[in-house]
Parts: sequence; structure tokens; C-alpha cells
Amino acid sequence: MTSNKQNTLVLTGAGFSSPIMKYKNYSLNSAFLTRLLCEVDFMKELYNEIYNSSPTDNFIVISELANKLLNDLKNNQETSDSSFEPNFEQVFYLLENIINFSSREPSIKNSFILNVLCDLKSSYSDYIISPLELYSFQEFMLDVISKFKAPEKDLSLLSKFFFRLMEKSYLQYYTLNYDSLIVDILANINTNYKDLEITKNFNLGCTYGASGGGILAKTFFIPPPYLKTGRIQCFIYMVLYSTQILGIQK
Amino acid sequence: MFYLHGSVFYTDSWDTKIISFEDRKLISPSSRNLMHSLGMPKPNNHINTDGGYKFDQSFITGLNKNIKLTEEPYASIYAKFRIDLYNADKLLIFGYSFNDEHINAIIASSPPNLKKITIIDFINNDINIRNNYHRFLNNVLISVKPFGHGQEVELWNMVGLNESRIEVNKNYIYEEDHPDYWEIEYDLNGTIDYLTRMTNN
Repeated sequence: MTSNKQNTLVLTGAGFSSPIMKYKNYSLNSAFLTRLLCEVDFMKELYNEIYNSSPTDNFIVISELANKLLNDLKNNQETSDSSFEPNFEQVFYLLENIINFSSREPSIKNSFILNVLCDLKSSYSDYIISPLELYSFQEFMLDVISKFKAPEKDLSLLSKFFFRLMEKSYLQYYTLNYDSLIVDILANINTNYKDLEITKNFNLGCTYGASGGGILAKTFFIPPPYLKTGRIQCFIYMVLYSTQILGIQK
Repeated sequence: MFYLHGSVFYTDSWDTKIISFEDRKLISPSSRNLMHSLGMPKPNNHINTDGGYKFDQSFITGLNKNIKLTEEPYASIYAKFRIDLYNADKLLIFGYSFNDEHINAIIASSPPNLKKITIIDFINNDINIRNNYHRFLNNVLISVKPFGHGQEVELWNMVGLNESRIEVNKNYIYEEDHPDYWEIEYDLNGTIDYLTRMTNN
């Protein structure tokens, strides 16, 4: 019986992955993602590396606009607060606002908005930046992020740490990051724990968590009725040893 | 294990979206456009009640995060996050600089069993993150956790750095004196150092 274990919730943010996850000489941090969105040449370089082709004009327009917005943010700070460094999050915020404005005022040409906001090359002035293109750009960013991996020595250290943690606690892991680090960590522990299983069924209100010593810790979660609907599209609990694909209905 | 803001494992497939803990299959934007033209459903781009787009996101960022998080799968994930935090004895935070108000609000919701928060980060040279800790701890955490014994004690002194932390350790024994407080522990030596130390102990 493992009832004397404590419940530990682990929450990780960007500072967890950034010193560990590497792709070539790049670190996975906010500065990198900002360059990926806002530096046209850098975007082109990474695009070419992972797809072996050149980006479309739509991508270049988004990147040029993002670059302009980033520079405007840097040059128009109300105070000289040196701690504020605009990043991709603020740029996405503005891009979405621009698209929203365009959707609300369909009688105004999208090219007019782009030209007011930024001095884009005239050849791009007919392009319309739509939510779908922004979505596509995000998918590209995730494709690049998926290339980042942790060095073996760090992965080994992390695996040992989480293994020790699981010996002492029931572990719930939440992350604000987009990368694969935690999955890689668990997969690395995986080789030592072949009798653990994956938890999959949220609607049944039962989850399994991995614990040390090969003991399977079972916890119960009874979802409130409003969650027990067909709208529950996915709940992924990855525990050790195996992986599973869950479909998400549109 | 949950991704609160989306992940590389959340991606398009031919006729659905999937979460797959396998290596991400790269699809170039031009190939994705081709798939759409051949019948693959396009991402939803509905109009919100305020007239703006409801963006179909590959990851959560930008405008109106709170609204985006009301969509599945995030709505369910956040419901689970609240429940797990409600039942947590300890909260271990790596590398989070308290810039997401929707996360801060959940942490600040007075989980009844939570006794200890450990924060590990590279904050030695990062004034911004340190300021965020202080802002968050002063404005949110302190105000929501009910104080025991009817006393107004300045939690700043309990969670502050350096001398004040020593002072706290000298004057307060968490479990005995103030069971209603969260014990908040900083580790300023960074993720790898922390992991190394904790793993070797």
C-alpha cells in the first residue's frame, strides 16, 4: 500500500527546457521563438532545413509584419523599463488583433491595413493574412520545436530525478512548454519499468500514475457531470512503458 | 502528464487531430495546403460573439488566452489541473516566471492540502523573473491563503531572499507555528544544479 505517499504536482515553464533542449547551437527559449517568427532570413533558414524547400510568400509576409511589429514594440515603450523585452507572445497578440480588425471591417481592404501598419514590399500588398495562415505558421514553429532534444547526460539526470520523485510522491506533471522534454524523460525511465501501464480513460474517472519500485499507484478522479459529455475529446495521461494515440473528434 | 499550452504532439492528421507521443511527423505548409484542398478539414475559424475570430491554435499564445482555454482539450486539462492542485500536498515549480495570469489565479486558489511550494529557476541574474516572483507572491499568494491565528504576518519576510530567508528559518517552524501558511522554498542555483543535488542525496 502506498497511501503514505504525498501528492506532488510538478509545473514547468520555459526555464525548465531552455537550458536543456538543444538543436544545433540553438537553445529553446523565448528569444529563439521570437527570431523564428520575426526574422525573415532566420525563418527562411530553418524552413529550408526542416522542409528542404523555400517558404511561401504568405510566410514571408507574416514574418515581415511580425518583424515590424516587434521593432515597433521595442521602440515605443512608455518607460525605460529595461526588463521588458517584447517577444513572440506580444507579436502574436498584435497579429491576431490585425486579423480581427480585418474580419470586422471586411469592406476595408486588407492590403490597406498592412500598408498602414508596416511598409511591406509592394509585391506583398495584395496578400491577406488570415487565421489559417497564422495557424500554418504555428504548425511550422512546432515542427521546428520538435527538432530540439535534450543531451543524453541531462536526460539521464532528469530521469533519475523524476524516478526519485516518484518513489516519494504520486506525481502529476503539468507543463507550459510545447517541447518533448517530459515525454523523453519518461521514455528514458521507461526501460526500467516494464510493468507500468498507460492511463487512458478520463470518463471512467480513474487514472493511473507511475510510482517507484514497480508499484502502480492508482488514483481516482471523478469528473463533474458537465465534463462527461461527448465534448471530452482528449485527456492524455502518459504513464510509462507504452504510448497511445487518442483521436480527437472535430 | 498534461500540456497546458499545447505541444509538438498535438497536430493535424489526415482527417482529425491527434495527440501522439511519437516523433512529430513534419508536414510542410505547402503539403498541408494540398491536404486541405484534397478534403482534409481545415482548422476551425469561427467568429466569436464579439465579432472577432476564434483562432484555432496549434499552441496557446497571443490574444485572449483565457478564451482559447475554454476550448477542448484545454478546458478539460485545466479542470484536471485545478483538481490535482486541490489534492496536492506539494507544488514543485521549475522555470516558471509567473507571467501567465490564468495559471497564477489557479495556484492562488488556496488549495487546502498544499503545504509547500518549491521554486527552482535561474533567477540569479534575471531581474525580471525575480520581480515577477515578488510581485506574484506579494499580490496574489499572500492575499489568498488564509492566515492562522488571526495574525497578519508579512509573508514577504517568509519568502524573501537571502537574509530574510535566514530570519524566517530562525523564527518560524512551519508545521508547528503556522500550519495555515504555505512554506515557500527558493532554490537559486538553477535547474541542473538542483537536479544534480537532489538526485545525489
